[in-house]
Amino acid sequence: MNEATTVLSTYPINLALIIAGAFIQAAMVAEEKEKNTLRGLLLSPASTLEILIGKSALSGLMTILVIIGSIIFSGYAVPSLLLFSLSILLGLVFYLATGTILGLLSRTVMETSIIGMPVLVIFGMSSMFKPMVENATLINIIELLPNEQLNQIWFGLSDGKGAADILMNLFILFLWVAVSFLLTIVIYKNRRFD
Amino acid sequence: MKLLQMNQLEKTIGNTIIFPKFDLTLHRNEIVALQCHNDVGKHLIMMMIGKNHISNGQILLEDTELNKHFKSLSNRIGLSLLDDALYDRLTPREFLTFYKNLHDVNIEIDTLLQKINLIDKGNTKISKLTFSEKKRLHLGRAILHQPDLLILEEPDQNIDIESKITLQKVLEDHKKQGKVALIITNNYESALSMTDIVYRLNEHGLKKIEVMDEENGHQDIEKEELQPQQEILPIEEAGSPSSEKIQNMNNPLRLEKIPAKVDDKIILFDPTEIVYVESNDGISHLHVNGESFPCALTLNTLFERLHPFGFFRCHRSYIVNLQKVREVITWTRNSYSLILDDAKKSSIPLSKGKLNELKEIRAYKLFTTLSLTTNDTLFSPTFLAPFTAKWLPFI
Repeated sequence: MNEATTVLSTYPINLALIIAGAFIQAAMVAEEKEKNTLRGLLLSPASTLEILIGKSALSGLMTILVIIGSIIFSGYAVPSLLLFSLSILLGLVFYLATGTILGLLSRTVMETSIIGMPVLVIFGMSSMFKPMVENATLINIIELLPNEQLNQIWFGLSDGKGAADILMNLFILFLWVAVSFLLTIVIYKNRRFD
Repeated sequence: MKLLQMNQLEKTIGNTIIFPKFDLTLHRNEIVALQCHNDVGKHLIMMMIGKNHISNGQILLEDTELNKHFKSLSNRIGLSLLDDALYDRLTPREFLTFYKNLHDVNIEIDTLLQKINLIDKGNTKISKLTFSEKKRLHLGRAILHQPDLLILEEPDQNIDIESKITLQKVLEDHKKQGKVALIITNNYESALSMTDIVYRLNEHGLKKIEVMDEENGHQDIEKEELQPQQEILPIEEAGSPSSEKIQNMNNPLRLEKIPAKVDDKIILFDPTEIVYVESNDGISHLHVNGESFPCALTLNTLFERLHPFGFFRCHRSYIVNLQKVREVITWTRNSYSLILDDAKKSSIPLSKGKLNELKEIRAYKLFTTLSLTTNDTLFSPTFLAPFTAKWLPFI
């Protein structure tokens, strides 16, 4: 399988993660903010983590459904189910956190799609743009992005590499997850009251 | 038993004082209303829930600092704010069930819906409810977990009579269970309609408004009215029973208050609070702090009582507190106005005859010396303003 077709076959999965995961999550959080209902939750006994997990559960579930759907429709052969699921899970947490940040930063549901646009371009489309870019530094940066990490993991798995070979990619992905999660908590603490 | 204590609480932003230090204690079985400007109330609530910084002092729920531990205490507090929101796509039943699970309490949703009079609308989408019904649902959410302390912001703003009655019932019930409600409103009338314990909070501090029920009130007023006659009685006659003496000793305190009626309650004002009194269609209206309160007493009776406090009958239907007069303005030779030192800069008429009286009794020296030399120009506003503003309070 050459690289171009692989990119195309994994592209729906990445796009599913960002659109279903991040954008639905952002819209849901933003709606709570826009309609002032978030404060009711904040003043209830539910803790920060409970609220965030509760908010993420539905969009997480939907994302998984969409990913399964896109795998079926694109006919992508899942290489190693366990490692593949692990990478999807890490990606999911990262995109949900990104979506929560987007939702917290925007005041209305409309606004999420505006400030979400750069996120969509960077995390969603960068794999497509990569062949066009010639600047080496830029390519290196693009390759560090979580969607590229996911791609590299999936390519690696398709090529029959084992867990040890993709450990570095998993680690970088995990860093993204940790950073986005911490950032979510910080922004949440600052932004929660309107 | 004390439930909520605010000790030496103060809020300043930069150099602006939102409210100076005050102490307030809420005991069990009490409904307390705090009449204040909306933004002052907002600051206070935000301080209680730990969002706004407290400039000074502390807020204690029993012995825990409420603002620092709001989350862990949130099961004991019911909060309903003016701009709270609901989930439009849920029904009241679903909404309350959601909050019931959040608070992890075991209650009957139907009983609660009955209590807030929404049982018929239990399965209607919230977006289809009227404003008053939504407000009742907010109330239901606030009392759902049977909190010890209920904080309501403007609970009866814009709601219909039906909801007001429901609100009263809920508050009464809440009180009977030995719990406390704190109502924050900027409307006197709504504060008074809900409770007898009313405070006013503003940049001058916290002040208790004395309220009594109408029946007792009437008796007291009658007593007050009788009183001057008793005082006229020569003291030598006091060989008579000592009870009368005691009454005489207690009474002067009461005499200082001026009663005004709002709905079925009577508020007592300090004479010094009153800016001016206006007679309109035969009813006296006390103007206090930008609001007007009807008073059962006639202007003449009021003047007799208020006279010792520096009040002046400046017109057939006006009595003014001379401490509050800022300017005397001459419109024509025969028409004058007094500009007052209140928020609205109210202007009240001064009759010509009374002007002379004012000159004679109040400002004899100042006015006569000036008027000898500059008879007519004296009362031109520009000339007089600085003098009156400066001198009237002292003379």
